[in-house]
Amino acid sequence: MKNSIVFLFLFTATILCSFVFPWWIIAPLTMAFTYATRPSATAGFTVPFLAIFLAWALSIYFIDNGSVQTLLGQLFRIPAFMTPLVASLLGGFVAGLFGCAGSLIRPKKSL
Amino acid sequence: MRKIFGIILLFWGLAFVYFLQSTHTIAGKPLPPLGNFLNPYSGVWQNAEAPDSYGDIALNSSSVAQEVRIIFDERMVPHIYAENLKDALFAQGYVEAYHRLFQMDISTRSPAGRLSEVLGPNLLKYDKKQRRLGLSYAADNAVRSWQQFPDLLENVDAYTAGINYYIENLSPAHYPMEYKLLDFAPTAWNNRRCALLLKAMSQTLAGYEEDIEMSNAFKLLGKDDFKVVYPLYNPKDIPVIEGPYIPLKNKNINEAVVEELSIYLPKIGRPRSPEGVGSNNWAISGSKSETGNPLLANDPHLALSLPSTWYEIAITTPDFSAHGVTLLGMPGIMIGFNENIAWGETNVGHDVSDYYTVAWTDENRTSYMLDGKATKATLKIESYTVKGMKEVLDTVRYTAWGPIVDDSINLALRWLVHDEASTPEFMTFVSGMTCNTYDEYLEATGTFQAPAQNFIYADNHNEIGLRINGKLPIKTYGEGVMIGDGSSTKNGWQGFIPRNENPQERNPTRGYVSSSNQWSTSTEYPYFFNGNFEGYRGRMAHSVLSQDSTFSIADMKALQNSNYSIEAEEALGILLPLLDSSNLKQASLLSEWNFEYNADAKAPPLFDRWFAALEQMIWDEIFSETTIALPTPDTWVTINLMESSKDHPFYDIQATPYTENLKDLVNASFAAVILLPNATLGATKKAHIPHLTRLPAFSSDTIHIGGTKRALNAMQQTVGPSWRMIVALGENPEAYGMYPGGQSGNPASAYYMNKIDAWAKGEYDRIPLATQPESISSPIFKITISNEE
Repeated sequence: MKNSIVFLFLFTATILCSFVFPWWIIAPLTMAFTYATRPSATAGFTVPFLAIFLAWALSIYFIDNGSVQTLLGQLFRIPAFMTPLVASLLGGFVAGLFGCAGSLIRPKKSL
Repeated sequence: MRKIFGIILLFWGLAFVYFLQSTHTIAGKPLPPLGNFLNPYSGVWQNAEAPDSYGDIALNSSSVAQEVRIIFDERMVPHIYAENLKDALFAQGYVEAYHRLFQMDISTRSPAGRLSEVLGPNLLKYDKKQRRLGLSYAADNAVRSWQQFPDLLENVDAYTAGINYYIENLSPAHYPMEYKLLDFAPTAWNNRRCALLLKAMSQTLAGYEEDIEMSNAFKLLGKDDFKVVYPLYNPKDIPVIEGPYIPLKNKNINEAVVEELSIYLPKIGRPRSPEGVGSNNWAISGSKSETGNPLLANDPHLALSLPSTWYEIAITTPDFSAHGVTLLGMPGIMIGFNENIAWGETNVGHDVSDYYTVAWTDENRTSYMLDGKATKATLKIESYTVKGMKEVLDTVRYTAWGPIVDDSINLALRWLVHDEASTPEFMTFVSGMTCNTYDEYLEATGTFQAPAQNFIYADNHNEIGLRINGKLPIKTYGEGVMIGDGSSTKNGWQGFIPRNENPQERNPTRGYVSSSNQWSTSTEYPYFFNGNFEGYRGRMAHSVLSQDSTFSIADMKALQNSNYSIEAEEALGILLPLLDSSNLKQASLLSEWNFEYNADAKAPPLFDRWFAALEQMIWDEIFSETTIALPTPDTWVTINLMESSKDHPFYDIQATPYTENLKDLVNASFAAVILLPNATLGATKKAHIPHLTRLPAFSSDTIHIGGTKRALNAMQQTVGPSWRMIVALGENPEAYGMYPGGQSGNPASAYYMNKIDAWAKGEYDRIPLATQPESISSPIFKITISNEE
């Protein structure tokens, strides 16, 4: 349940914030959120990764009519359909790293 | 421990973000900052442009006096409707930036010598050459002289304001994708950049000179042979203006003082326009037209690029309604038509770029001898802000002649392009598009300075005309062919030809005017000139237009797309009869050829290879000298020599103990090429249109297309017809046009290169003159610019 909330929050916040702030806003955003919510290290990586990966992939799907991915495919010499995935993976990986770092840096609650 | 892992991960996260925010070079290829480039919210994805994504835009600017409407028609051509000229030019600047900002930026950074600033140290050498040629200096001179015309300059100010209005309101997310890829941002436009664009055009079209090469050839061959290999004039040529010319009291027949070389000079590295750039224009009077009114055709040929060189635009105010193409970065319409007239240009090609020797008086080269006195050189320190490097400085010495282009050679460049403008040259294409009669047009375009152009004209009063228009220096005979003696100012240009004495004709009895970059005049013209001319296309146009018949619009289209080569016809008329019977059997491809350079024909590549091999043998005295910079003899010189003599001493190959004649060379060169595999012209040519950055992803695929530099359709590999226009004058002008590309500069747009296929097939779009917004049947979207405080 907590992970779902984290996922939904990051997914929404990424899309909203990215129209105002630079793309790397996802780094402090995810780190602050995992620091605050204290998920496990695994969830600290995977939930932000999936949230940002999906947010970026869906955004690209709605923004691009296929013309940009065709160009990028030719530019980087990879199949065109892979270019949105590569882009989304980059975003997801950044979020995952900072998300995991946020969850690890926060001291565990003492029993 | 957990916290340490967290900090390590944080460190790696920061490092990864830093990596994604930085530029890198992988396998020699530069990578943009991937985070900025690939994120969906401000990265390259924002440049996606779906065909149904255009919505109307309402803008507000205090720079316009009244509301301006810009309606983009179904071909994405903007139609500007304004209440006054300045508002219209503001909108022109705006739409040009809207579609072509990156192109405008790069095409003015190039002459300014500022490419390395954004593209890195690899471009520094190029930048230095551009600055040393004095293009930036020339732009400064132009802008300074423009201040003489403050009222007229307000038109350029309005155009510049329009560009800047677009830039100021452009968010980084919507920068053209090339900016994102190359990781820099657009900067403000200014009038100097308009001047730079004019200078860049002059570099392409008025940058011809072969002074060093010709001087070397003179030294190598001696006077008599030099005249054989590099004659000034082809007697077979039909000049643009056949005369009679305005007689002068004092024809300037003195020979120029030419510097005799003591040593061979190395080639000065300078950017050059590609050989064989070939444009055509002609206008026929109503008496030769099927419509009974004049027809005007113009197809300027340039190095093709994407985004397209030209931008199609229509401008309407209460005073005029014009449609045509504009060169991005200059206000007005360069080639086009309005309700009453049509106009266009081809390049003149006179040599207005001459080198003069400089004798320095001191080791530091701070002063030089001129008219018997030591004269101080002006030292100009050029500063380069190179991406990824510290500031680089370069000192350029300026003499009374002009800059020292290469410090290793004591030659100064006298180039017309450096001169201040004595007339408001920036108004030529603004005023030109508003004219209604030829007298008005002559006055409006009389302001044009450089690069000199064959300005052609036709109107619905059945007037046609052509003027070789621009500033042309008065030279003594032979001046500028080779290096001049720079010790005396008397050896330089003696002023400029008065504009009314420029070659020109109006309503000639033959019923047409025509130009195809050939010699401007016959030798009867009282002023000397030399330059970069091509005679075959002009002869082809004349051979058709001089026929005793009337011409339709379809005839004009066929003529613009003609692949017929008079050069091939003439050459094969000499070569085939000289072939031995054994070779003749193998030459059936050529003997049956109709001299058309069609894409599917196999004969043209075979002929080209054969002729090139033959030229190498005939001019072995030139081509074997690989260490000396020498000019390549013109094709027509080779053909004329073969026609006049079959045993000229030049046919003897120096490396053999025998004495060869033409027949020997013809057979030997044929044998050398006939066994090579032969493909069609289209497959051999590999024609394509590269993007400005040369990135294949943004460039066209290979285009299967015919044409040759000696045919009216002078399509080569990447050089060819950049805009084809035909206008039938009359009560309502009927116009057709096409160019290789599209209106948008965005490689992700459907309008980026949507016209290439039609252009390659020789097809045309119908261009209606939409004098009223309501007459645009299927607009894509519109922009309204209001002044609401």
